[in-house]
Amino acid sequence: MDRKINIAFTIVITVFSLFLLRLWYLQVIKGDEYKKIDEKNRIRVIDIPAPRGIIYDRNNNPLVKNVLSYDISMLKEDIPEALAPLADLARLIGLPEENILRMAKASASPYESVKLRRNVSFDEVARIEARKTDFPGLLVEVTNVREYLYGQTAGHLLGYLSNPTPKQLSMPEFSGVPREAFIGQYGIEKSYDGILRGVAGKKIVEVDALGNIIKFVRIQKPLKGRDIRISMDINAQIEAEKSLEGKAGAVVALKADTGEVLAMASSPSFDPNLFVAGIDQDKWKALISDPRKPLMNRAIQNQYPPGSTFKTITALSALETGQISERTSEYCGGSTYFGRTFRCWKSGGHGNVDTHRAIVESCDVFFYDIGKKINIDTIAKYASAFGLGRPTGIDLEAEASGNLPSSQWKLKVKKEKWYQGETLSVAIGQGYLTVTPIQMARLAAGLVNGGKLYRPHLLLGERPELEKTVDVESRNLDFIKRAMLGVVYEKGGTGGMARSNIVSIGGKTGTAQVIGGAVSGKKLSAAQQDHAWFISYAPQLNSQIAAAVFVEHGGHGGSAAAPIAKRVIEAYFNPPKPEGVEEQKEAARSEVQEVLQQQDEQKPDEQDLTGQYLPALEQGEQPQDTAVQEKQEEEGD
Amino acid sequence: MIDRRILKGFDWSFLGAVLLLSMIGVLTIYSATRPILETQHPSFYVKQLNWTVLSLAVFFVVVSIDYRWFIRSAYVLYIIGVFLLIIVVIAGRKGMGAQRWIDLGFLSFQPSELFKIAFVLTLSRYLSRLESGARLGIKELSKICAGFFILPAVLILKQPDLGTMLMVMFIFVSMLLTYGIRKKLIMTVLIIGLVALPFAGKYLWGGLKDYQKNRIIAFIDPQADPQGIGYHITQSKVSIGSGGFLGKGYTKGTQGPYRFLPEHHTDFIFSIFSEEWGFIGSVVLFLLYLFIIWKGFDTARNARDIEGTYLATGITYMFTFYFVVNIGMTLGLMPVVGIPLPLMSYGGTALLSNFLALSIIANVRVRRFASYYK
Repeated sequence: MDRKINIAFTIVITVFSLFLLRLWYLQVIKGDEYKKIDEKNRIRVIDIPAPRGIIYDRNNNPLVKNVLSYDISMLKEDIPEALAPLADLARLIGLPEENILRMAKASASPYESVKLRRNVSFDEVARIEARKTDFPGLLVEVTNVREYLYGQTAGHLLGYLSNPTPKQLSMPEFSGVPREAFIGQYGIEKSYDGILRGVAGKKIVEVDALGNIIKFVRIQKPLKGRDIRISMDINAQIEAEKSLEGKAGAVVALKADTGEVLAMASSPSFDPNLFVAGIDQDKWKALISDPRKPLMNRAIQNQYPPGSTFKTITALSALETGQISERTSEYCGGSTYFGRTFRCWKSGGHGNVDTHRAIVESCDVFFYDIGKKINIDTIAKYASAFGLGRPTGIDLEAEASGNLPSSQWKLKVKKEKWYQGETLSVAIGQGYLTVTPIQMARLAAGLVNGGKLYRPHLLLGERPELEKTVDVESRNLDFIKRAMLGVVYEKGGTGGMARSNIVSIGGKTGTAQVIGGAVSGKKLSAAQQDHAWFISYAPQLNSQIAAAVFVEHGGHGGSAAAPIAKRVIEAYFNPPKPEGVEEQKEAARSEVQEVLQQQDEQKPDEQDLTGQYLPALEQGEQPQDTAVQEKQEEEGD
Repeated sequence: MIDRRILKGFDWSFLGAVLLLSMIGVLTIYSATRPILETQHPSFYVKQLNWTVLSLAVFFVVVSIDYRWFIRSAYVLYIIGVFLLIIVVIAGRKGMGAQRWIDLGFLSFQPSELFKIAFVLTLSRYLSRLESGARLGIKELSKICAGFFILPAVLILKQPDLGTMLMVMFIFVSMLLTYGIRKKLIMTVLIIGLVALPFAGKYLWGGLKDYQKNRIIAFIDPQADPQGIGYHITQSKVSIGSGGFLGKGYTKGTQGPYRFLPEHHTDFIFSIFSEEWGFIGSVVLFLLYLFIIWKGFDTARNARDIEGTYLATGITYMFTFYFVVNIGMTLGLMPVVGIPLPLMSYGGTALLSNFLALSIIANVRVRRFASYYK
């Protein structure tokens, strides 16, 4: 008996020793590891999103604001599976049952919080809070969301936010950005995300097994993102978008002497507020499958032939290389022959035209004749000098470069030599040549500011970045500019619809053919309609603004695009104050007449100067529009 | 009646160790149920303290009655015990998927706790009166099984209470082994068992409830689903492991109050103790338990009669088995079986039955020299 008891006790001692070894293993050998797990158990790091910086326009009008938003979320494991409570929950939070289930399925861990709805109204929050006890795990979280104050206006320019993609999260520039954060994915929001984003804060808390916060260990406050001011003028922007309403197209207005973007509209557009609550699948699908491509920023991504607006460059290169002079005169009989018949847009012909009239009336035959003689590479050289054929470098992503053909380009891409006949097409802005509206706006600015090519930019406070000053005779530039004023103000000018009562506007129309050799008289369908262009500037002396307008299938540049340019330019200069209007008009009129006088001396027979269309403000000479004055003061900072 | 000489032989160190462990138990329950977000401290520790006082009174009462009276009444107690088990199956209160309690209105208790003691008494009586004295053969073994084991085993499985079932089985086997079973029979049973296991295993496995299967799966591979069925084991190991060598300090543990470790004041009380007192504290605790077990065996060896020896051995086995299964579970060495840690886990009936059982050891111990005065 004693022996058996001794055996039993020996077994007990053995088991105890085994337990002690196990204890030693768990507590001493693995102790630190388990301490970490223990901490992980109860220490939670909660991100505090940083308020994003505010975006202001050039006149300090806020374009966005941050507003409190209420989000509804629930731990995945707390989402009811039984039909009755699920239906009950669906009713309470106003989300279809299948959506709830789909969202629950999408989250990996049962302990992950599933965001069921974002941006819930305060009334709904009150209703949900009242019944919260029926659904354990249902949470109402308060976050900051972006509100775009002007809705659809400047949607392409401001862009939108969304949660970082998995790929972005793995990139170093987004390190420390919480998965739940909103970052810029398009437009200015994306380009300057680094500035606007700020630094998310952290709340380190101890929680119990049910996720109740027991105490705060440490709080690291979020760092608010920095505010930025962009060069856009909201009045000009609104006007640009309004004038494009119902059309597809783009307007780009630049400050002629700095490259600052005053307005950049692309139509159709979208409302960035749609993305605030996390855009739902249906709306997103509708946006990306819309044949009118509302998500495409036509101002920087549309590539179409510039049409006759390009004649400014053709004329300039011919003048520079001595192919023509200011006095060169040609006869336009409606068409010319070079291997085949090249027709002028005016079937009856323009008769005798000199260089000035050829630009004013946009005579194709005159430019075909240049095209017969001039080397394509000469045109390419000047076009390239004014920034065509490459992105302008504006601070927005995904800019297109357009296409600037040359003999080398043709060999390389088309594997054949350049034919002179093709130069005729390029001379009138057709053929292989394609451009973007922003390129044309910059080109217009370069033509009227003495050949200075700035990098277009939106962020204010940057020094204007002068890419280069084009090496051309200023006499030739002045000649082109005078012709562009004539386009708007002279009899027979193709851009008469851009005439303004407030400011002198010059420009050049363009009508880019969609189908070659259209038979006149035959009605074209909407998709075959020509694209309308107008490049412009204002005022004539010390030009401040340069703008390009493009209307897809808009028809004639003079009728479809020119009035838009006028509206945008006028919005920028603002309607003058009632007092002094007459004085201003008078002053503007005298200025335009003075400029035109110089031409009239050369061609008195062409005079048709319409006193009632008036224009122009000359700086320093007369009392200025106060709005203009303010703008100039602000540009100093 | 207790006379002075008997009182002189009372082992105060044994009672001291028992009381010390139950006080440690009360303190650990206090710490484990610390309110964190609430202001009200749950009254578990007060209840446990009350039960300790009651149990101590019972302890002294039992010690004062000569254990031979219990031996004489063993069969009656056994029948009462079985009767209570039948009542549980018919009219017991359900709790946590099993029907183990009898509700008396003012208190509810688990008859299986009391039955175990009656079972030890019965076996002690029977074995000590076996005439032959020779090792048990197949015939005697079958008789004992049929007479004492089968009926209560079925009733307990019916509840179902796997832990108690294993406990009763263990007491039964270990006491028979202590009496002596023919070596040939032991070998035969072992061999048959080993051969039959793969076949029987399937039926045994199929007969288990889902939560029982889960516990076994979780034991074999706690990582399989650490947030699900392996949760208990994982969190218990985290509690113990994070205690380290010196522990976090009394009332500094977090696993219990933060509710990461379920059953922290009942079955997993050791994990909480070990978290706060570390390796050092756990060793001291083990030594206290070992001391009681050693006293138990010592009592058995020095009992004045063979009944006392069987009684002390049986109770010590029972106590040891409680301890081993509970600690083995918290250390992740055995599957999760709902067996509390004797003397420390929260629970009135369990505490009372532990005191009752240990008082029988004290009873035998205090009378070890009494035969001289017969």
